[in-house]
Amino acid sequence: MSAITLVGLVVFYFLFVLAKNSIPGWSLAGWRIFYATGWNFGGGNYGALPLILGTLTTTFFALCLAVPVGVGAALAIVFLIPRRLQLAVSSLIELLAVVPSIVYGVWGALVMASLLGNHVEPWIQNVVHGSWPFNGAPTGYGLTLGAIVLAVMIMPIVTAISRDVIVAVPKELTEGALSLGATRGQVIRRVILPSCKTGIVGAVTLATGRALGETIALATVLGGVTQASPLPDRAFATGSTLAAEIALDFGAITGKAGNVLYALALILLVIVGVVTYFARSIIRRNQKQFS
Amino acid sequence: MSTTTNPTDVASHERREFIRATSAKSYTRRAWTSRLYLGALSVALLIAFVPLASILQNVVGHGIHYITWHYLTTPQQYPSITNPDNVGGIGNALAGTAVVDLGAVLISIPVALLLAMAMFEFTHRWVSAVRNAMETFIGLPSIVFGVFTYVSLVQTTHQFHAYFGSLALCFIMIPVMTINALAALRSVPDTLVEAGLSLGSRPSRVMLHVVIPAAKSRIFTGIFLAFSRAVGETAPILFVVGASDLVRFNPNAQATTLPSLMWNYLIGSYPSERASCWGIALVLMAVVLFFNVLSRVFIAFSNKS
Amino acid sequence: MDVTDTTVPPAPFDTTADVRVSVRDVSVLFSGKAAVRNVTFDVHSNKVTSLIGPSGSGKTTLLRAINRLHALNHKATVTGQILLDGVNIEDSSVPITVLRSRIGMVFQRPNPFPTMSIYDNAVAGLRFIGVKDKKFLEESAEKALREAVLWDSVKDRLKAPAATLSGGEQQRLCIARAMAVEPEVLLMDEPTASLDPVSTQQIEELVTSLKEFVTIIIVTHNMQQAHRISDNCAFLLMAEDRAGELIEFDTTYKIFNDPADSRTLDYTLGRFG
Repeated sequence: MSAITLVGLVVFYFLFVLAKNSIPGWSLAGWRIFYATGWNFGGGNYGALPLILGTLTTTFFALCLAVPVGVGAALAIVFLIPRRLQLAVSSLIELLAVVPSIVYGVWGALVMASLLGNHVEPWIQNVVHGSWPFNGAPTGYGLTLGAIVLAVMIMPIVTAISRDVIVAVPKELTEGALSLGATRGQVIRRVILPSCKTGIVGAVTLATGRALGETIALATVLGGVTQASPLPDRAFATGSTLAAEIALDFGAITGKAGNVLYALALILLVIVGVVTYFARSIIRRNQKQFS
Repeated sequence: MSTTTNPTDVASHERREFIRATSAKSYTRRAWTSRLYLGALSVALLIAFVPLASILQNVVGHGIHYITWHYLTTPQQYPSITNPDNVGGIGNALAGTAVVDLGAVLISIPVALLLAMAMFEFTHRWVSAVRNAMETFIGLPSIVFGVFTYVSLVQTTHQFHAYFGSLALCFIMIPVMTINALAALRSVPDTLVEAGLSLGSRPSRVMLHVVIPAAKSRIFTGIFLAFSRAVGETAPILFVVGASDLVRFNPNAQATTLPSLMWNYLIGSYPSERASCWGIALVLMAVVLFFNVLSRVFIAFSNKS
Repeated sequence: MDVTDTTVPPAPFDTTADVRVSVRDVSVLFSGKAAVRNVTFDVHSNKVTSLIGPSGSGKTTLLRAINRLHALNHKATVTGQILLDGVNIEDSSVPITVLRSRIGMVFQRPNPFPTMSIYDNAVAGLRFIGVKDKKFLEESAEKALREAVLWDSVKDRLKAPAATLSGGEQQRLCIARAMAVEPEVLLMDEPTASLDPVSTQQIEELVTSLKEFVTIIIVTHNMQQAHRISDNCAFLLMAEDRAGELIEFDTTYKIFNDPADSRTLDYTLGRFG
């Protein structure tokens, strides 16, 4: 019993400490932190809007990539792979979730960056003749690479949970649809997927939470907020996210400026908390519909 | 809605013909749509494998050259302009990882077990609150724990210690171990518990001599899972353990871990350092995979019994 | 219908009646092991044919072969011939989805699509086939729901989710859903097994009224039910090697009052279940 109280105390202390230490940071940065651009930690500019936008855009585009691939792969595993191989294939994909973020950072920085920067991005730019959003010099690094790496990191979460949800749909529904004359594609699209909606939303939520907080992998591939790229306004822009920036600037933590980083951590926590809360309430509302 | 439809209408024959005709006409289109859809699903599955293949191929392909006894046991060296390839080995990082992570395990196991036992015994609404808190902790960005540890320990003492890192890792390890241990305890069949009680044993102490051994496998699963996760963590320990280029096992001293070494190399400017990351990555992945597979083996054990 | 009704003269087996489905020497094997072996009988149009027998005798397995549901199972093999109106159901000129819309199926536990409304469930089959005409769909829904004796209960709440119906109503919705595509044959796999006695009776009356529109093949565990509602009856029994065999096929009257095989007599007298 006392152990639980202790845990509760630790949690409160945790929040308290973060809040307390960010106060000097707030006073230093002021409200500018939310709307001003031109983040430059070393130079004393604490407009964190590029960071907030960076966090939201990388997560959003990572989801756009990871959710269709993840759900599609889960459907493929359940409906196209023979039963005895299903466990092996799923385990293989879940292996991606075991890879530490620093290794993703290494892979992203040393392999994907040059692939994107030297081949893919120039080719795209050529095809659209340099029009927005593919303007500006491609370096390989940047928010796009960040979104791709994030997508790879969260995809196994989506696949694993979706697979559990899909398998839980009663076989009789599939048989009922087939005996009416439906094709397999119709069965999946019109019967299986609608039944899985709630579960898939849950999977997406977890993936979102993970993506918002990813620090290390992104820090190595994002390229930072620079003069050339002050805001995430084009595909090849470099930038940063709240989490990544905290990690990168932590070395210079001493002094009042350091407290700004605590403020960033608080902002990040609030965003993650709000997103998780909303997602959980959506799930609860969906569940009520079915009971 | 028409209300004059008579079920035994002769027009029923026409309806049937219409349905048959529609069915026959649409068949080709439906069959192709279905094939296309299933094809798209297969493509998604293939796409899902590409990054895995790339990562494994690169880590093993580039990293395998580095794996020598020398590399694993000698500490890192510092390249310079005159000697840019002088990267050395990773012995200090291996030692540091061992110290920090084993320390975290030693602290976490008793705490997690105690918590799990407490949550198992009591059915208070606090229990679900704590459970919620733990699941939240697992989902939090791990840098937050690093920041917290820095503020509460490093900033106040103005020192770096390896065991600070162990404490930071506990924030991640304890929830994972506790949730697994709790599930393990709950999975022990009631009949076993009742049998123990009926033998006259005191519920609290001796029951745990029955329940915990029965739940052993699943508890180990949680321990190995937590360990494999903690070994790969960079952010929590990055700024609380300092750094060390000596191969030693002192929890009180500063330490470099495998992930923190990789981080420093990646951000650094020498290509030889960045290339050495592949070797470190291979070692790290081997350790992480080993414990992850181990945890799955123990899940299989627990399912069999 | 009284079980011991002896005032109606026993009708001999009508060999001139229209044969809708013909089962010829059909066996179903799972991973090489036979679950049903060498079954041959004819199903007459607009009659109710029941498959009876104790558990494990292969009744459901045989039923599922008729709408090729075993094609889902990699380990299943079906040998022999099943003819629908003289055409082999495995004939490649008949696409399997078209075949399945001519042979409807109702399952043991009601399985309406939970995310769809009552109306959407009723017209689901038509929509799968590609019927888009809204008026046609609405007429079909009403027709099918009337045939299933469900129209009056649900006509004011067609948009309500199917999950809000009771068990018996859900099963009737499934029957309506199957009837909406105007099948020629309706397969029923122990349709009342999970229902209460009142719903069971309603469904039995429904089956009797439906045979005017479709040919019905029903698997039932309950031999009194078979006696009540079926015209012809096939009795299957599990042999020593666990494969189901057809012991006797005749009119219901004959099976229950004067069977040719002693095992049939034992079963109908309840000597084994």
